[in-house]
Amino acid sequence: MTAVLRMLARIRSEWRHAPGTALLFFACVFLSVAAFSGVENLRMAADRMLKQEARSFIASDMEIRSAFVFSHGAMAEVKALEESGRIRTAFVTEFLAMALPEEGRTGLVSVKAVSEGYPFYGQVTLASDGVLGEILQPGILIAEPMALRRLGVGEGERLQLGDAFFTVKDAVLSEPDRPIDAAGLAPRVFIHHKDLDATGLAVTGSRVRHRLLVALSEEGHRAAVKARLSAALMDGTEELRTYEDTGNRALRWMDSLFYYLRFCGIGILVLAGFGIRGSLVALWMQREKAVALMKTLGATPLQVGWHMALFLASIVIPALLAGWLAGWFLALAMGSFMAEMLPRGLVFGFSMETLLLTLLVGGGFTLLFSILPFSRMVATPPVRILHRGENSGRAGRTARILFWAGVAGLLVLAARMLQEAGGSRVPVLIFMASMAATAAAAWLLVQLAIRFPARGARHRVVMQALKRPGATPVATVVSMAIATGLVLALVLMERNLSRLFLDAFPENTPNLYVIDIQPSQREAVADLLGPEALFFPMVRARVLAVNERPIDAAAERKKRGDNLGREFSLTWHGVMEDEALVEGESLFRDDLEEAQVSILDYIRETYPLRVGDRITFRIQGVSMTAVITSVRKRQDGSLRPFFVFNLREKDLVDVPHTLFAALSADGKQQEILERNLAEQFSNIRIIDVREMIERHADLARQMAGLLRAFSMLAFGAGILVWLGGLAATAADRARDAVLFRVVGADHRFLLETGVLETGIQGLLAVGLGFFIAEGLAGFVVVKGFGLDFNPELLLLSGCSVLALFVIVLLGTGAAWPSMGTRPADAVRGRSR
Amino acid sequence: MIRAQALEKSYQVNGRTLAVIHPMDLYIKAASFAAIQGRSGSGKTTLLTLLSGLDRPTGGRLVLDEDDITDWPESRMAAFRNKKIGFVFQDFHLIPGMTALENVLFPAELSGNAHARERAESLLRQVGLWERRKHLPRQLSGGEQQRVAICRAVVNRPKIIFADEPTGNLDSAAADGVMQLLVDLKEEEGATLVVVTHSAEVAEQADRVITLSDGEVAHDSGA
Ligand SMILES: Nc1ncnc2c1ncn2[C@@H]1O[C@H](COP(=O)(O)OP(=O)(O)OP(=O)(O)O)[C@@H](O)[C@H]1O
Ligand SMILES: [Mg+2]
Repeated sequence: MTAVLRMLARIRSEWRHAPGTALLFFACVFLSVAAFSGVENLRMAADRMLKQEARSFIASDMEIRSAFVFSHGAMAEVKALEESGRIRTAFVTEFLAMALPEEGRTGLVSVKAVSEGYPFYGQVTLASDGVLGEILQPGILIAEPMALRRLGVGEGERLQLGDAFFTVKDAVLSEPDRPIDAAGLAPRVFIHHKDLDATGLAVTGSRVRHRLLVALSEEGHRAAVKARLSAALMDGTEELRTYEDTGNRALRWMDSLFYYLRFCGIGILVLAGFGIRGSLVALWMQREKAVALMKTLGATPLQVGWHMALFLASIVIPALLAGWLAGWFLALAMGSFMAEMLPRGLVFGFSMETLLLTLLVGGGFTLLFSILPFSRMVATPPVRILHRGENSGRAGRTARILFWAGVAGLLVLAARMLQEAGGSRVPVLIFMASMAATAAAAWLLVQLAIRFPARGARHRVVMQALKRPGATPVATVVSMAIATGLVLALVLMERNLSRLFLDAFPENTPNLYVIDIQPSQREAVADLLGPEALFFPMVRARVLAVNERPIDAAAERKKRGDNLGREFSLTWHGVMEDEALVEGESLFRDDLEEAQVSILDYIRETYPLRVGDRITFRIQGVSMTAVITSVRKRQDGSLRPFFVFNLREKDLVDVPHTLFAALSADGKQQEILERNLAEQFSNIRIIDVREMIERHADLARQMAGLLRAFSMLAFGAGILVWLGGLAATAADRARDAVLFRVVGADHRFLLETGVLETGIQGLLAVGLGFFIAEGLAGFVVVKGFGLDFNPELLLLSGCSVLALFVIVLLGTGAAWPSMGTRPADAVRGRSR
Repeated sequence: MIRAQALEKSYQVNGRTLAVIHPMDLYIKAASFAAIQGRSGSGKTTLLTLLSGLDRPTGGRLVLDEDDITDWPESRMAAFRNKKIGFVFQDFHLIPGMTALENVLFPAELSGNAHARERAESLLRQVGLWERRKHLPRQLSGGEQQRVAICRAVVNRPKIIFADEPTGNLDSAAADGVMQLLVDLKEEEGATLVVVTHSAEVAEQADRVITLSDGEVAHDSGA
């Protein structure tokens, strides 16, 4: 009992001796853990939901997908299984259509025709709280509230889809197999599957997705059913998906989000690590005399270590717990902030796993960055009671080995975590290499600055301040460089992405895409659209093989960005004005008899394709092979229509095709066009690309907000590192300030040297941050978004100057109090 | 020249006023050497900080070298200290991060003295520390540090040098050397020297000995 009390008393007295530094240490641990735990809690919530409700993402156990009506073979097998009582089935057919209200505005909707039974898992939420199966009778249409708003129709009114008329009833709020609200191209409407034929819209050749949902009954053996169905499918057109792969794919883009968040989380962790080290060094500087005294009075290193460890634990443990809790709230906040982008129904419950992971990683991190200062603290020789600065206690060999082993382990762990989050190895390597490069550059620059021969009193004072024991100019520069780099990169990225939006719609860029025009309708449609409209023929096809090597569509689709596994639209349109040839002398060659194709260069990022390679396409069940004769590149990132595969007319003209028209129209003109088109040609759909882009821009803004929050956290971490350095030198700084004043320096001199000192470090940091920002933003904009990157040098320079100003203000402001000691105190032989 | 009129200093401790220096008139002639003595706690250091303008009196006026500095703002005091006053302390107070030469140079550089370097170097030669000019304070012995501190005090050719027990931390041989140096430099520059000391030998060399007791002048050999 008394031992515990004595322990507490000791901890309390340590706290009393260095409350500021202890608090700083707390803040560093807290911040790192909070950021990490925030990301992990969010990820865990998403993960858990994925696991629990994976089946609801396809509303079934498995489904057969096809762009065409299901084959006889597949249907026969399904029927047999159904009759044997092993499975239940439901049909879902999805397609885009123009909805025509009696009054109001014509608009594109995403139709989902479902039969009884849908959904087998999960729930369709209706505004009335009713059950979908009861309300959705033939002749009824249930729409998303947004669809109703846009079309200007209300409940009980009539709406035309293709050739059929529907009565609007109720409203649909969510559906299980579209977990992310923002995912859709157009607002959703539900109709009964029996009404599908009446609309006349789901005809072969138009963009339809047929899904046959399969639910296993008690007798149904999962693997057996799967095997039997797979065997019965028609190759290349029908595909069997289980909830495991679909669930993950539906939320694929969330992987990217978590990847970047984890990236930030780890970055903040590293920055905070610097801060942990800095504040511990500060603590050591402040307590050094006390430790030396303890030793002089006979305390063993073990006793000293135990004493300090207890004290540190009294800070670290509460900080870890508080950080975890804060991260949980952070996840909650992010969850509500990004509600539109995240799957519905995320539950942020208590998770032992994140708690353990956070404690482990946060604690490990703290321990790692504490090893060296702690070891130095314990190793303080008793003679330090007499003078300081000399043979400043070096950390023991074991401590150093442990530290570097820990750093290596950490790098491996970070790389694995990032990879696990779905990233490829390359960005991770680039990230680490650039971190190392930044550190090396900072070290070099600081060395240069320190070695520079001092001229004049100010310069001399700044030099000695940078060399002061406990001063951490390199760590400060690195962390501030990373922090400002992140913030500046964000500015750049936002600028470039918003420019994308502006550039995407220069005058006359088509903003309306009219799709699924039948060749027989071309004349009439052209009359309606006017002479400006550009027409492109389109043939839907999949890539079967390259040089006779089959494409693994499922594996291809797992790739980030574009892939060869998806469906493509082939066209023939000759040379497009916004494209240039990068390989091949002309689009096609006259000397070749076989079919020829010209490809867009960007697709080669996902699959190596060269001029001379032969691509085998499958077009409506028939395969066709074409040789690559040229590679094209788009000149700008604008939203003009483009086609990856451009063929010659004579190679495609016999294949059934539709036409695609692009034109620009606004306001009333657009409205009239849409209505006229929809009334005359029920099969034709109009996509308003501008509206789509605006919705995406909205999402991008939400994303940017989130990233901004995280970069601010990183900036905060950078500031903490700075403060750690200041705290470590505060006592010496105060002593020196007094001495300077005794020999006649005034406040202005001190202020000037303070500004100079932070200014030099700030300048180096911002300079490095500038390059980090350009590199990072360039990488993300070019690789991530596939856009041209504008470095915005002028803007970024302006922002850098601003950042420098902020840093100098903060740094000098934080250092200022330690300069206020009165000169008279110096005479009494103490500096405070 | 130093002229103090009714100079006094008191502290507020736990709500009570503690008078450390009672109102005191004092005149110290230019180019003279005054020693201040007294028992520990009698107020010697306090008086020195008042006379040198390092600390502000609670009452009275102070004239240093023709200037009434009593109400001067801190920045003006700083410039004045830099040009006209030199300090030597018992525990040296060299700037730890600077070499011996840099320490001596520092006050001269502060005021932009064009011949600072020659002056500093010749001073270091004079005190026999030329070889050690590039050493940091912690690499010097106490006596050596004090000699550097004395060079720093006189580098700007001050009118008045204040020293608070400059030999208190030194053995008698080193102490003799340091005192001799102070006196020599004082003579050379024609400066006024005010030294607080416990040492009778030091006091013996002074033109005048002022003895303090409980914040009042108990005895003054020059009065
Ligand atoms: N900041 C202060 N607040 C309250 N009392 C103070 C303060 N500074 C000094 N004193 C008191 O003033 C008195 C004179 O102190 P001072 O340092 O001038 O003595 P001293 O003569 O230099 O002694 P010593 O020979 O031991 O150095 C002492 O009693 C001291 O306690
Ligand atoms: Mg004293």
